Amino acid sequence: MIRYLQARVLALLLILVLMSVVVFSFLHLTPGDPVEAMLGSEVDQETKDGLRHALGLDQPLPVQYGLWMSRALRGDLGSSIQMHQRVSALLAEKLPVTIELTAAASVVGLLIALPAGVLAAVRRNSAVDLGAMGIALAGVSIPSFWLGVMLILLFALHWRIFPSIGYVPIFRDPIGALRHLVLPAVTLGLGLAGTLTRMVRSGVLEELGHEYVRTAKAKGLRFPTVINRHVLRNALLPTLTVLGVQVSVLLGGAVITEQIFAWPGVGQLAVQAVQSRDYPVLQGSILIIAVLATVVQLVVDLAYAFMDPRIRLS
Amino acid sequence: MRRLHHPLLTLAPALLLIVSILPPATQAQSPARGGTLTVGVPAELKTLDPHQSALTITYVDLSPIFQTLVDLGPSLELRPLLAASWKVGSDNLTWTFNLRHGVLFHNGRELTSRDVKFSIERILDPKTGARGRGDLSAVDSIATPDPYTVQFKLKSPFSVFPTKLTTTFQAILPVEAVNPATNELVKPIGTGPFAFVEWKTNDHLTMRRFDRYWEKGKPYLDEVVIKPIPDETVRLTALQTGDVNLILSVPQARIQDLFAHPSNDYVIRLVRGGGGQGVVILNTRRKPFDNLKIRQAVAYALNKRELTEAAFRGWGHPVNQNFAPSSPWYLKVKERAMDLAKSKQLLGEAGMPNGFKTTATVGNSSDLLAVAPVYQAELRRVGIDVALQAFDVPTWAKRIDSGDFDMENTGFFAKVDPDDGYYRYLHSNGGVWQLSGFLANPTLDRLLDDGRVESETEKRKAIYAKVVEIVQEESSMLIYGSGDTAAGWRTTVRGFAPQIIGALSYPGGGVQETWISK
Amino acid sequence: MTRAYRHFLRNRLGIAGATLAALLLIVALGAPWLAREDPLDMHMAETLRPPSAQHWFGTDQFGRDVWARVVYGARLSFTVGLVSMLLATTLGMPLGAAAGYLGGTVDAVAMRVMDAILAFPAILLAIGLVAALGPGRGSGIIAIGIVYIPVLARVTRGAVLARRAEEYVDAARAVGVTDWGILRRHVLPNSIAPILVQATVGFASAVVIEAGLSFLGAGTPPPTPSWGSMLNEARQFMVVAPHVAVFPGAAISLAVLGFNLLGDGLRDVLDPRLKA
Repeated sequence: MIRYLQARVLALLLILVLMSVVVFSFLHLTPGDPVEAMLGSEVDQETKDGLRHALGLDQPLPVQYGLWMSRALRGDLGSSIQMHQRVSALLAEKLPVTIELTAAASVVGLLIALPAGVLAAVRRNSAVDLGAMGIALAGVSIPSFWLGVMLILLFALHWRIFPSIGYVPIFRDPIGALRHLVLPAVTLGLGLAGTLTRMVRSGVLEELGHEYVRTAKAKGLRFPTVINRHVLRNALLPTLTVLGVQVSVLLGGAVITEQIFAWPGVGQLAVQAVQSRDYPVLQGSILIIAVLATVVQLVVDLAYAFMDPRIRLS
Repeated sequence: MRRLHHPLLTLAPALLLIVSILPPATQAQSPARGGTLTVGVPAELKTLDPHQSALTITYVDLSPIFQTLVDLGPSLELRPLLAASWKVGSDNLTWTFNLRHGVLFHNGRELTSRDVKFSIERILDPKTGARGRGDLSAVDSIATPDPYTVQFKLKSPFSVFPTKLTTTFQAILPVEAVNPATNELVKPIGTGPFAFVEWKTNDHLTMRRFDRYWEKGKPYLDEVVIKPIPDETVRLTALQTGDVNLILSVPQARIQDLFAHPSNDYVIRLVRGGGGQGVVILNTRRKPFDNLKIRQAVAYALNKRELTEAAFRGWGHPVNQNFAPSSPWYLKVKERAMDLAKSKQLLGEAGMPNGFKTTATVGNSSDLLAVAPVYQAELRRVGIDVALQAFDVPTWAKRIDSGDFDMENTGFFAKVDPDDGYYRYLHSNGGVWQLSGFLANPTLDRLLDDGRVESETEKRKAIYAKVVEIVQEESSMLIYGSGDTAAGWRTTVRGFAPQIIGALSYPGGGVQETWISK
Repeated sequence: MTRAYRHFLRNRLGIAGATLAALLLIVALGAPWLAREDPLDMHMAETLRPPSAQHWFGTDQFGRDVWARVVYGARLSFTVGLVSMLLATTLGMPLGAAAGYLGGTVDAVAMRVMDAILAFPAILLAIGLVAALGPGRGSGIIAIGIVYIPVLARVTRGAVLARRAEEYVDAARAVGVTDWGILRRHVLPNSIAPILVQATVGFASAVVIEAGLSFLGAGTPPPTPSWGSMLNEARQFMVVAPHVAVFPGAAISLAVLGFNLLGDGLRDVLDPRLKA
């Protein structure tokens, strides 16, 4: 287990380094002059040179990368061109919002997928199964931006159950925060629910085919007990790994969801940065989300490893 | 015993019964103190410095914090604000403004003429890049004979000079709010009813009641929170669900439907002329718009009806000048009709018979984005290929201000007076010359200067009619339509009346008069 | 009995998917004939009209025929899906094949780099690339293609690894066939199946990502009809004219559904061992 842990952490570090190279290269992929892309072409030469120097663009590439990395590791991700704030400050402000949204969406996804997947597997080929699979397919195919807007129309405008847009910090007003959380979390979580339902279903189906289940049934153990105690545990482990990967997808989907519901998260920051050609902010926000996704995946993998006795004891 | 059966006593129950079934008297409710007003606005601020942005959102957002000597009332009439009174001397050049006594800045210090002189001089300083610079270019010198008197000596007579001191672009700042070395606003301190609390870009701008505001008893609200919501559907929905309690621009496409289905929870009020004027601008410093024939070719290809419909969706009128048709300053100048054949002919004469490629720099808000695809399609008909480049509003504004665009589209808010309508855009010293595409025309400069000096209305109309003709001929500032807008607020919001140009706080109305009923 | 039933069902879904995919192809190819009107033609006097005999899907806020725009949008979506997947496969397949076949450091390095790219949420990386490459039709396609290179590389590597272990490879090598010859004649042809499946599913994702990019304003610039930007523009008018949003949204969903189902079906038919 310890060796597994070591290997994974090492791999993580390597990947983080490589990811930083990718993000770093954004600035250099611009066909024209990145400084001009950021500031416009009619800005005086002095300002342009100033920015060029601040970004280190007048140095050779490896040096640039080294400088960027050393600063980034110390928490200095530069300053926003447009907003005159430090990128790290902006990220610190907006990251909790994105995390809250993603966590809530994961909860929604699991809450739907677990019961649905199990039911579908247990009542295989019935109307329930087909229904659940149909909804799962819909969840995966319907674009979240369409879903989000339709949900606003129905639940916020027509039926007035939930507020339409906006973010309320959870410590300031817990009830308000929850109400504002429902629609965005469902919008983002439904897609996850779709993917996970199929996974849970096939996982449970596979377990159900195993001998010990038939043995337990033959022994007279009540079906629900069998499910709860054995099948679920074994079926859910692979789902857990998938969840890790799906968090990465969720974080990407958060970008769109934040736009629809006007949540001031890192996704919205990134979109903003694209429109204002603010590369430091863009790099910072993409980097932080990618790092977050990777770390979460590692944690999930470790949890899986811990729970799977085959790895734990090796 | 008989005393008890006094006739009035028998009437009493009858009276009670009658009173109870009568409709309740509309009590002139007195304003209640407290509450937060949440305002949804279409764009984000570029800066907290009122002198350094030409965006409309600047005065919308910052008017509760910063004030001016005089300002515009609900129908854009001139009203005293920090100046209690003013008069012009017999030389027609010296304007004396008497400041109110006891006006405090948010840091507790009293407003004096020294702050006024400082602020106006900062606006006049070319390095500040103030939008209001051209408006005040007539000022020769500023004198402060005593702490409550400011005297402006003008270079030439200017009959409507006081109107040049209106709107938050001409805000009076305390001397200590600006860093003298960098000319940067250190702290957003003003004299307005609300003091700045915090600004989180793209999230909210918060301000709190200034308890020592000079208008005693006001404001009533505890807090005003402004949220930029560029998506107009989301903004309207936010009003309908109560997430914000006031919005100043209801999407025009929805106005008809909202009037047809009124709600108990919110009120929608039409603001005539509130939509301002829509304009397409060609930069005469960029090829090929430096060629007059090319610009005219573009002008002949544009369809003002289509553009007006896209911008104002049924609530607009095509125009050829910077005023609404209902304005007394709307002058008789012959419209130039769309003519695709003429357009193609002009392109041929300019040496580009098959058209050319160019870019349009567009701001990322619903109203600006609504118009761009229309002129893109219209110009395609004559072979001009326009690529749209969208930026978020503050970045777009920066690009436009530095002249970094080939063509763009924007809107001008309603104008008070023809000098207001034309000088700052068209005069080479106007202050926002980029908004006419840097149109250099000496005749125009002369006419605009003459218009300032002239005080007789009919003569002014003649001068400005010529201005409009030349502008139309030069085809770099193509004003296509004027429109209405609507504001909406929750029924719990009382005392608010929208101003035509949409400032949140203004003399005679706005957030200092507003209160929230329970 | 239940197994046969399931197989039949599965196949049915696969056929449904194939039908939808074929429909998309037909619409995309036949756009100029199917559209009936120019999708860029504006008629400001007829904006936001509901579906009618003249305008099957109604008109949008600029008076453009929504049916024509949906049809041409199919062309864009199909092009984006096809070209980006071709790009991803052309670059990812050799990479994955080399990694899988040669193993050792080549494999380790290549796969770590692929992992790094895969660690990014797809749309986020696409946004970053589009911002870097600048606005334009090609940027979206290139961005999505790059995002999917590691996916195709991984799949190829996996397939190659599985085949490499087979006996006939050792036999061929013993006879003296070169590595490249082995790859070309034995390993790769048998690896096509999972690659095809992945490319099909990737096609669906490409359509959604492109729509998402256009929705955020980072995709295909106007006035080219794109389902994503149509959906974004339609939001403002949803209350007064829902049809403007319903049709492009439905189109995206159907296209994605079709290719997902097709991918599932292909997986079942070509290589049941790969079932998730």
